[in-house]
Amino acid sequence: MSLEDVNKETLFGYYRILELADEKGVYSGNLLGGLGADVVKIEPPGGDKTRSWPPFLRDEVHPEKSLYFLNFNTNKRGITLNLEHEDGREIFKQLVKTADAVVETFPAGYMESLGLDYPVLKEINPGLVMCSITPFGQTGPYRNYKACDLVNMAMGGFMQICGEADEPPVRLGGEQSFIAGSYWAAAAIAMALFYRETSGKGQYIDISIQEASIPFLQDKLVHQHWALAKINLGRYGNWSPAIMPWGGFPCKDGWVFIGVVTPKEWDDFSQWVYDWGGDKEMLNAMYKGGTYARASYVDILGRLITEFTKRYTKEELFTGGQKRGIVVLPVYTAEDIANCSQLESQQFFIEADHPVAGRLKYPRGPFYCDDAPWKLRRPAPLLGEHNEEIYCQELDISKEELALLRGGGII
Amino acid sequence: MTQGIFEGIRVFEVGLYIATPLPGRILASQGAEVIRAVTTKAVDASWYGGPQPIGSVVPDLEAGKRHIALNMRHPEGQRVAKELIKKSDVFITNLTGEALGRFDLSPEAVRAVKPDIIMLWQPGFEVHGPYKDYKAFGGMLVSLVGLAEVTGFSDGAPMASGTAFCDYHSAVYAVLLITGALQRHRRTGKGTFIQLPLYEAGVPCLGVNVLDYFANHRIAHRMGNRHPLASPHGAYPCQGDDRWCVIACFTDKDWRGFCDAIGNPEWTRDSRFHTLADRIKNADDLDLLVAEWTRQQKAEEVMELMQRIEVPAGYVFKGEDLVENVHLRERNYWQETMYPVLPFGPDAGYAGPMSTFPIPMKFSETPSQFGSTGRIPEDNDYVYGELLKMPPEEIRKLTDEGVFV
Repeated sequence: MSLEDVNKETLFGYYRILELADEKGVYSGNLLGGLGADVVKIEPPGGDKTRSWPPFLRDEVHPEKSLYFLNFNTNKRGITLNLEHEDGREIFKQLVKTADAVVETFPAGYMESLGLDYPVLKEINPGLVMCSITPFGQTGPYRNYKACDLVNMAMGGFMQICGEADEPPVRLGGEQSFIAGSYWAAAAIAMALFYRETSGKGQYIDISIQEASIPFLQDKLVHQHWALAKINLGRYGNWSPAIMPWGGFPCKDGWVFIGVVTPKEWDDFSQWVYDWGGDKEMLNAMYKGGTYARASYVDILGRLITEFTKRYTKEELFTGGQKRGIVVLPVYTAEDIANCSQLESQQFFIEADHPVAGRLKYPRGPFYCDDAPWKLRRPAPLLGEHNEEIYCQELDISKEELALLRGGGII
Repeated sequence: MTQGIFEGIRVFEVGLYIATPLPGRILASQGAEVIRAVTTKAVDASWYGGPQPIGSVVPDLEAGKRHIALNMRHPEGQRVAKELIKKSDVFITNLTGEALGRFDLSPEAVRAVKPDIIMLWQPGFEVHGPYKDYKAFGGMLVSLVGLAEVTGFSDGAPMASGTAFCDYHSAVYAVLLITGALQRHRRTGKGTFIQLPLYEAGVPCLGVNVLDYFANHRIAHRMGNRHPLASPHGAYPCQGDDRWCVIACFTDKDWRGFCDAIGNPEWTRDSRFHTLADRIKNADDLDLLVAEWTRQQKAEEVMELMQRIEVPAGYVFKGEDLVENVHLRERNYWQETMYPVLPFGPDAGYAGPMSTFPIPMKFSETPSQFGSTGRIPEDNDYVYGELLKMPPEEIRKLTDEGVFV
């Protein structure tokens, strides 16, 4: 298949992206790479710090066995480069000449201190798109604040509304703020490249993870409650204070979420509970009606429904409820997702062989596009795996020179 | 005014809630002409007011778009929809497959009308497979994608926040994919059909945990605000009502900085907290001691104190902080839009300025634009008259017959 054909079959196969990103931006390169872009991950000679992040394959601490690194760095080639060294910076500038975009997650001001900020890179490549992802953006009083996902989730407003009413605020599991920052960055890079096609101009994009996280709150209308009525929304746990059932219920092997809103849904739901051995009280006419009809009965109905759900498994409740047109959703664990019949039927997880980690399964992009499908072209790169391919074949650095650069800690 | 990235691109948007209108808004903020079609025959009143007691979601999502009323239950409405598709570059929708069939807007029908269209469809759940006919509420999908299991305290219930989490992910993926498809069209002249099931948009969020299961058969569970590589790491109570700071010490440097910041009390030298491994092991004791100190502090001051010594720390933002915080203000985060008169709901009758969500992508050449939020059907004359060149009598007739309503 010619390169031309490959490009036609992907959405971003025309582009080369240089990725200088840690956990704050790895997913952006992962997305663009899965959609066809040639993503070159540039790590310091000692390797990206996330190579030392758990979990590890078989708990073996090894830079090629970090499941964190393996998950987020598929579809990328990998080279090493020391930007702290002047020779390293000169090599980076060579790479920028043929790149379409650079995505970086260094602290605000760091690239400038190296003489590698956007005004400099723009001189080298006027069409370059440069995207910086930081916890609080490039400007503002917090721009140099130290952060992590916990801090992002707190200052993005999410923790305020997540948790039980009488308990501390809690963050989402799984470092979600980094996912948000990264996908906004990927979309922004795509948009800027699209703009460049007709305007000829590159541009600089400033992504703040705090700003990227705040939209998670949009439909809770948190800012409107303050702006219009000076109310601070808080936490109320899993159950709605006025809609029953609406929230999580413990079951035999875990939890399920149930949502019943319309009068018909309640009729079907209460009948189901009764049919499956629940209390006849569920059929009492006083509970019938739509969304808020059961607001005064949250406690008693909560108890009756919990008695019912505790007798069945997640899957039994999930399929039993859904077959009756009731919204029942199991609280899936990683194991459930790995074994999920729906995801398996849609080939969501794709197998790939990694030279050290062996055969593992990775998620595809969350969409279907027969015209230009997501492709898993390669697993995460070994440290410096593509040094020769890129430095020798593209930058005309000889193998001897490469060895010298390695020895000098520049590559 | 700089030209937007999507200047000259026309988008036909038919969808409710967030998953479809939000990408429409992002495209509009970059100059796309987004024609949003709704019908007063099937308005979801709750979206204009309630279930929240205050405010409404829709105005934010409508900013910068053209608004038309179009009843596609009527065969003439379907005909007009097809005319609009012929004139559009992108068609985005989250109608169900059944509705698309009823309105004759299935992918096959749309492609027949305009073979090079870019169509992006966001089915709520799945189109194929065992979940094909299942239902979900957006705010609950976090349970199915594995997020609820890992959110909350270890001795407590799995948590969801009650927001339409997967919708927000789906919206940004939609913009990414539409942009790619527009690029592809520019280069090859070909259309693209993309399906973005809402449920799947959330699955990548737990990628590492699922890989851990594949590799090690290990199942991740809730751990509150703890972290396997840091301690202290959590939310700590501060002075005031429901006020919390967050502090995270990943390295020995962070820990020493933290101890200095709180005045090096005796307990910080306890052998239980000597190394990171010790601190993680004794996190329960450590958290109690940290909280004893934070309870006497103001949350914002804890953040400032810690940040001076470069220890990762912040505080939990309430609504008032989001609106009034100095950093967000200096970044010009909230933008202003004009709310039209809300037709119903608790704020019915409110009209005037309202802060609205910006697009969190700051472009140097093409800053996002924020139009006012329009009213349905204020752009009927423009879209049907100017764009589709219908004479005024025909527009009046179709309005009277219940098509443009």
